[in-house]
Amino acid sequence: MSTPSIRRSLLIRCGIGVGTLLCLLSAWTYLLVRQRLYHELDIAIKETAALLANQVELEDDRISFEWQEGIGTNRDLSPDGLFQFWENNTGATTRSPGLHFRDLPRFTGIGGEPLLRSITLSNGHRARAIGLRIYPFVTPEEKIRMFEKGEVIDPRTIPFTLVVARDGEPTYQTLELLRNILIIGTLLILGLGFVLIQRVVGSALLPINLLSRQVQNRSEHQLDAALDLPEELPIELKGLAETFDRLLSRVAATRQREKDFIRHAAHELRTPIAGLRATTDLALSQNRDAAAYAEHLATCQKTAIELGELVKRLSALARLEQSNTALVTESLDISRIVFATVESFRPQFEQENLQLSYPGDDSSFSAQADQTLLQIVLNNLLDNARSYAKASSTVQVALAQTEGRTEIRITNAVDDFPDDLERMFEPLFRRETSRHDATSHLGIGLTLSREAAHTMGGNLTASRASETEIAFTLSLP
Amino acid sequence: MRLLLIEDHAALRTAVSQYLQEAGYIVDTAATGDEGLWAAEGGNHDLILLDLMLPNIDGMEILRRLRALGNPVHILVLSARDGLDDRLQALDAGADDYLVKPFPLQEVLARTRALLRRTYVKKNPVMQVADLELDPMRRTVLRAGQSIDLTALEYRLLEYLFYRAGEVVSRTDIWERVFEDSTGGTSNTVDVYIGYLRKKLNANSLPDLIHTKRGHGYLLDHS
Repeated sequence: MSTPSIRRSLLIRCGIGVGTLLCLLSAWTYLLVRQRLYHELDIAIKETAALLANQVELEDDRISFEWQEGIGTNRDLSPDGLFQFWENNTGATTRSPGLHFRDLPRFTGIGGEPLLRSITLSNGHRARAIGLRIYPFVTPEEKIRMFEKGEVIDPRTIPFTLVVARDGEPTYQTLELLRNILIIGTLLILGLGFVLIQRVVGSALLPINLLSRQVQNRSEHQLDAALDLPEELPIELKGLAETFDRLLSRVAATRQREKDFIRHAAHELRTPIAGLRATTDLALSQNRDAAAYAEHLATCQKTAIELGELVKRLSALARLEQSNTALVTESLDISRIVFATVESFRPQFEQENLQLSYPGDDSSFSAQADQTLLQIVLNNLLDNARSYAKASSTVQVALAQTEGRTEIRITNAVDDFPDDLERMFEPLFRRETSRHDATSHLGIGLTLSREAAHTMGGNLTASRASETEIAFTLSLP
Repeated sequence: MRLLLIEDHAALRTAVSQYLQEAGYIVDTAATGDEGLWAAEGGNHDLILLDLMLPNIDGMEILRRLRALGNPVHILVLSARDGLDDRLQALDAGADDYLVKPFPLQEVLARTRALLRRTYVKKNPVMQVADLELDPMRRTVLRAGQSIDLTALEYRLLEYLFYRAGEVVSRTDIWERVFEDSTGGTSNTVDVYIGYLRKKLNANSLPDLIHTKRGHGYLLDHS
């Protein structure tokens, strides 16, 4: 099956449309002219027939044809006229001299009514002819005479068939010429029209081709750059081009995010790799005792574990971002899970001289969530709070039910309030340029947590709880 | 030579520090930006190796503050940021060199030596005073073409005198740059080690190149 083409479709449709219109117009013109010419020819024949119908006279008990006498108006009939009389009773016939003793076809309409038709003359010329039944006429003087004689003859008992023809060859030739002109003209117009339509279609499709070329000619590195839309872009294409541009800008944003992520990830991987490299360089720089090698190996192992953790979190983030399958959530006892998590973190907080406040009241909160993902979010939020909370401050964990959703809110005081709260959710962004704890904070915890929240149909947001306090709220359905 | 390494990644800090120590330098370390800045402001280091992403105070901020104070110490930046902008920003902020992580330790050492030569305006990596030669790369000392065995501390002392050859070096300077524990020591220790050096360098009755300037310090010179 051939690929649909706008150009081809336009050409075919315009060609068929214009061609049909042109053919109809030509046919109509031809028929109109022919009708007109036939009409003129027929009028002339009818006039002749009308004259000849009065040329048969019953006189002195016999039939005489006045035209043969060449008197008065009849003078013009005889030389070139083409007509023939038949006496129906006897079959006797009389021809005009113009027929040169050849017969015309004999015909009349039903009941002798005049009938017009096209015929071919004996010389091969096409002609129009009229056939009708006529009766001889009787002059009043003849009627009186017949009456006096006592031999009145009814003229209706002597019917004649009159056929009058007129050579229509010039008319037919004119019509043939007209037909040829119209056919050739139609074909020429169709040909020229095809070329013209092609050019018009080509020029109409030019902006599409321009856009298409722009897209085709792009090099690998600028695939998602916005299109250079020409000023004169037709309005019909503007919407499409703008939609395409919007799509490109979304692709560009995604690519930029990926590039940033890769750049940041590479940057984050460099430091532990540098540690690994430096430790091995040092170990191999000279001969050492077994204890020294063991110490360096232990450092390498620790760094490798750190690298593994970073890669694990990056993979988890990538999986969450790329996951197309809907997560099946279940109704979970949020109060119990939060309580258990808070209690597991309490010793670490105490070690950092931080207070961890969780009312743990009797109200039971539940929500639709996935336990593993929920645990990832809670662990990250509490770990962040432990690392970034102001020294000797209290980190507050609270649960609430708002508009049918369960909210887990973790609030802590900070030394420096971040300028842009949303940026904290970007991959590998840390709340301050400086690292608080290089080994445990890899800068993707919040990104991962938000992705996990979204996957569960919830959300994770950061807000300013007070002048110096930041609050993270996990909202679950 | 006393170096300061400010790096928060423990494994990297330990490895770089130990490697430089094994190369004969005294290396002070700091794991956070504020600690590092405090140590750097003390002004007793010949070179600072500085990470940029640091807790509490950023490496760039340390650079700016040191230069704002007019501190001329040479700074070698060790950073995971490999972008041109990052490098230009650091160099424009006053860094003398920039090394992207991960790096071979040999390169850190080579750049350290190069910056130390610049600190003491030495073009040639092999330093020479009369017939005494010191090669920091091979850590060898030759006197009149004969190799001389020195302990790590003796070598460090001689190397420092070489870097400052032609000028009088105070006992305090020597104490601070050559001896591990630079706080509360005694200048007698310096005198004792100068004595050890002279003994090894002047064997076979060769002329003494380390001159004592009473009340001022020591001078390594031809005459």
